[in-house]
Amino acid sequence: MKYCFVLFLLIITVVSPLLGQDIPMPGESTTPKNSSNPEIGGYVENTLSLYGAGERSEESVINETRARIGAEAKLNNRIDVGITLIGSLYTGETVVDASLYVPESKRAAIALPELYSYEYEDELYLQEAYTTYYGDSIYVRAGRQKFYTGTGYAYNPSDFFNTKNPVDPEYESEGIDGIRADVELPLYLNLTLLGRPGETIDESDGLIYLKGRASMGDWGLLYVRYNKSMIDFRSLNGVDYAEVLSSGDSSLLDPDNYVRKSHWNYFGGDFDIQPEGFHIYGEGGYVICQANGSEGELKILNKDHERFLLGLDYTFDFQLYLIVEYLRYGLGADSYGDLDYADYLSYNSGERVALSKNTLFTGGSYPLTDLSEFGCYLISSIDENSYTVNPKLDYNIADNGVLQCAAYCTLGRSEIADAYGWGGDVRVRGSF
Amino acid sequence: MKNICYVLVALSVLLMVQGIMALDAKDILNKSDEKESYDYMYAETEQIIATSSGSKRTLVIRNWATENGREQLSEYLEPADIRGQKILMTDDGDNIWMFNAETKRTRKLGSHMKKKKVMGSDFTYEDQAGGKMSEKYTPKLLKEEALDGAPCYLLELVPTANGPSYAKVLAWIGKEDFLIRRVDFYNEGDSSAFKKMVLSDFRQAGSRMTPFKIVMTGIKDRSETVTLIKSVVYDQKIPQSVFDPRELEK
Repeated sequence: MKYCFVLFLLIITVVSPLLGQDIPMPGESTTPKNSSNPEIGGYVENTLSLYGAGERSEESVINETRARIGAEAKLNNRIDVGITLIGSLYTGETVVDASLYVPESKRAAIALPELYSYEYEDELYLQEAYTTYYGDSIYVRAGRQKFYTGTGYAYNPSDFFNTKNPVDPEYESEGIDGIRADVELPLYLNLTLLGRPGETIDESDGLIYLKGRASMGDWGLLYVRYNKSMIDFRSLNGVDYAEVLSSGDSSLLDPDNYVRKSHWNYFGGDFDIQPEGFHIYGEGGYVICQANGSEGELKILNKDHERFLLGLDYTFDFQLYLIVEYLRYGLGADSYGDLDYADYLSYNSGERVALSKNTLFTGGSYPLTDLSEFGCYLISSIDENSYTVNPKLDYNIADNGVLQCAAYCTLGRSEIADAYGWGGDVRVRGSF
Repeated sequence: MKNICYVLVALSVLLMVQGIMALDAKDILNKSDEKESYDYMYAETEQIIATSSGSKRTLVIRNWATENGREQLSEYLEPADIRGQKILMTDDGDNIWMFNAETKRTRKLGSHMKKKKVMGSDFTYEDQAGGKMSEKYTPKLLKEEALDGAPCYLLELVPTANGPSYAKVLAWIGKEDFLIRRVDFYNEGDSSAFKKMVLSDFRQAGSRMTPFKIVMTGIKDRSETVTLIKSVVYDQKIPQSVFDPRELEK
């Protein structure tokens, strides 16, 4: 009987893909009869970056050669597996002194700038490695995977699992280690549950995301439980170096020993509507924090706050595309005077969404030819009083080749402009 | 009495002939919609984009559509840099979602994006969006004119309030088969067309005549996009889930 069952399973596994429709379904292999063969793809790209700042004696150059290879295979109609591997090689000025990106008057408070250097190291990592089960109205994916929430383009304040760079918002993100279930409900509702295991249940992250469609547009409701961690730069900076030298305890200078954590509970939602031909979208909510203590960075970590984004975009008949996004970030500062070196260090390390409470992202793009597009964006950190201009050009140099040129230049308060300076990238990518 | 009968017969014939001749613009467009209509369609196409500088880019696309393209999904297979990207349009292009295979992110686009060119081709999203012409345009019969030897009706089509963004289009529709053979597009204030679409290589595919070659020429941009249909299947039922934005990532 046991063998019959195994035989039955074998027949189902082998035969079921062949019983499929004559026309392929989206995402299916282009050669349906061999649909269990993996689909392999990826790219090799080289990014040459040149950047300068007022405090540097000369411009810096860094080059990244990056390769990505991904494979996906359908084992049968119900199960697929996927894996993506990324490798990066760096040359040039690979050691970066992060304190140089702190405005001069605030940098003066940093006791030991060398502590804040970081190094681009050659790396090889798994971006994705997952198994997916496709049920009739449920989809479960386990392993490292990509997942996003929110409707914003330059910022996603409700997405706690991914870090976005507004200067390059469409660049791919790292994967999330977790288990995700998508359940299709009646009335175009979709329920997503995601769990990311931590060392304990208490230190695990998770979300519940309900999305729906109405005649007015799309909407979503989101609850996120997230363990937010930040390096307590203020405590690290307050170390008694004489004591470190006398005791020989170098762990006192290890930033990892100054990581503070807080449990965040986020309640929010998002929407997407199209009145009168305009596209208006938004996402946001409120974070309620739970951590012990209020010293150092815990002041930030323990601050209940609002965060939301409101966006609008439009395309003119002559192909010009314009976008405006307003970001309200409750952990941002009301004025430049409220910011100190620790705020800049944590922003530069990606721990914060923005420095200002109010940030405006504006810009547009225009297709210069059928194969090239020019865009120019302005990121206004309103309360901090700094403005980043970000022109970019994309050009399809061949069927599988893209050339991207981007630059940035910081304007506004002079010492911020000096700290962030200017820079530019030239990226060439060949895909296979 | 006999004379009266002759008169009645002659009158009836005259009325019938007049009825046939009096096909007005709306009838022509309705008949064209009828000829072009399908419930389900699956096609594999190749799109060759040529720019004014002479550069070329070839895209390989799979399309699934229902109700004359009222809902349609395009999946790009080539070139490799856009492999796996999907564009889903529902409600005649009023709702557009784009799935980026590299980032695995689905983003809803504003309906204004209908005016934007798709993947650098000369086709905009609204050119590709389906639906019935008779619902999107108010027609006016300008004249009858032969196009490449085929007698055609030349219609001027002005978009309805919810129609496409063009100021007007001129459409040549075959007198015998009611198939659209050429469309010229005009923007507001244009005295001449800024782009034109020519449909040719009509072949029988199932119960329907289909143009296997569609050339969209950007007259002002000096660019051209040639769409070649490699295979097409009509009226084989496509599951509704194909047109569900929740399915794009799967």
